[in-house]
This record gives sequence, structure tokens and C-alpha cells, in this order.
Amino acid sequence: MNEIYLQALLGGALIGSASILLMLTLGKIAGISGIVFESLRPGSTDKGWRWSFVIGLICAPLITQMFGFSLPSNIEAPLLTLGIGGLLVGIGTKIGSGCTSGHGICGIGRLSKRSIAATLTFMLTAFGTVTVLNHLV
Amino acid sequence: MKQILIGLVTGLLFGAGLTISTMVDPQRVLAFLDIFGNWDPTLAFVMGGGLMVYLPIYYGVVINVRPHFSRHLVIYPVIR
Repeated sequence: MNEIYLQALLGGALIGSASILLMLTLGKIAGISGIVFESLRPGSTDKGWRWSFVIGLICAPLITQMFGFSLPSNIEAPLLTLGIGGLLVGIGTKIGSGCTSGHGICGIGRLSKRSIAATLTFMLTAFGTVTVLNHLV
Repeated sequence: MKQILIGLVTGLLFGAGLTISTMVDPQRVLAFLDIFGNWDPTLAFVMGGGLMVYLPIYYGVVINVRPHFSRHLVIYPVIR
């Protein structure tokens, strides 16, 4: 098998392990959008682990780069585009109650109908958007 | 304190997974979404790898060892 697919499976397995560990210990869904939202929402009662999760998430590449896995050196998009994109993702995941991690891994992993529907919806929408922008415009 | 440590460890693991699977590269994600172009199935392998771990441990361990978590989760989406 192509090496990149093995790498993807291994990375995916790590993501799955992190998510199931969070479920097993704290009973929480490892949804990045939800964790970030609750870490910033005034009045949220369990901010501690959410903040440390986000810090861990951001610091992880510092450790993996010692083993040759690093962040892409440059991202070919203007900062404004990234900002608008990020904002839209944030609004969408709030309305849809979850993102790729929360719905895609934790939700499908619990065979939640709502999460399967959400994942299909955002995947199909994204396939459509990219197809229109790359091939039809 | 224990909760903060759990958050840090799971965050590190999650971030390592994202980096190793190359999902930190937007080009990689866009290539997965470009089904009529030069399609790159990597993202599907990442989700597959994640579910291969999550699904069996959820149904094999979590619902037996921590049934109150799974019960809580049935209600959780409805109130949100």
C-alpha cells in the first residue's frame, strides 16, 4: 500500500484513540469546534480540560516534527481568505452542532443518526463546492 | 488537575494524529474534495483509522464500563 495511506491510517488511529480516551475518562465528545466554543463561552463551567486540550492540540506538531512529521511550510491562501473560511466553518459547526471530529469520528463511532446525516451533509456540500469552483467556474 | 492532564494528553494525541495523517495541510483536504479532479483519498483513510479504534472500543468497553456516559449522550444532542 502507498506509504501515505498507512500514515493516514496511523494518524487516524491516533485521533480515534484520543477521542475514545476522552469519552472513557471524562465522557466527553472530542469535537474541536465544541471544545473551543465552550472554552471561550462565558459561564462555561468546565473550562480547564478544554484549554489544556487546545494547548495540547497546538503544541503537538512540536513533538511530531522530531519524528519527521511537521506542519506544511506554507499555505497558499491569503490571510483574509483563511479568516473568512474559518469564520464560516465556525458558524456552520455551531449550527450543525459539530465538525469533522465530533460528528465524523465520535458521532459515526457511536452510530448516531444525527452525526451520520451531518457528516454526509457537510461532505456532499464540500464535494459540490470544490467541484463547482474547480471545474465549472 | 486530573481533568487538565487528560485534556493535555488527548489534545497532544489528537494533534499528533492530525499532523501525521497530513490533515493539517489544507491542500490535502481540498484534494480529497476534488472528486472530479486528481482525487486524493487520504482523508477517507484517516476517518477509517479513527473509526477502527473508536467504534469497537465504544461498543466493547465504554457502554459496559461507563453506561452513564452513553446514556447521557443520547440526551445531549437534543438539548444542544
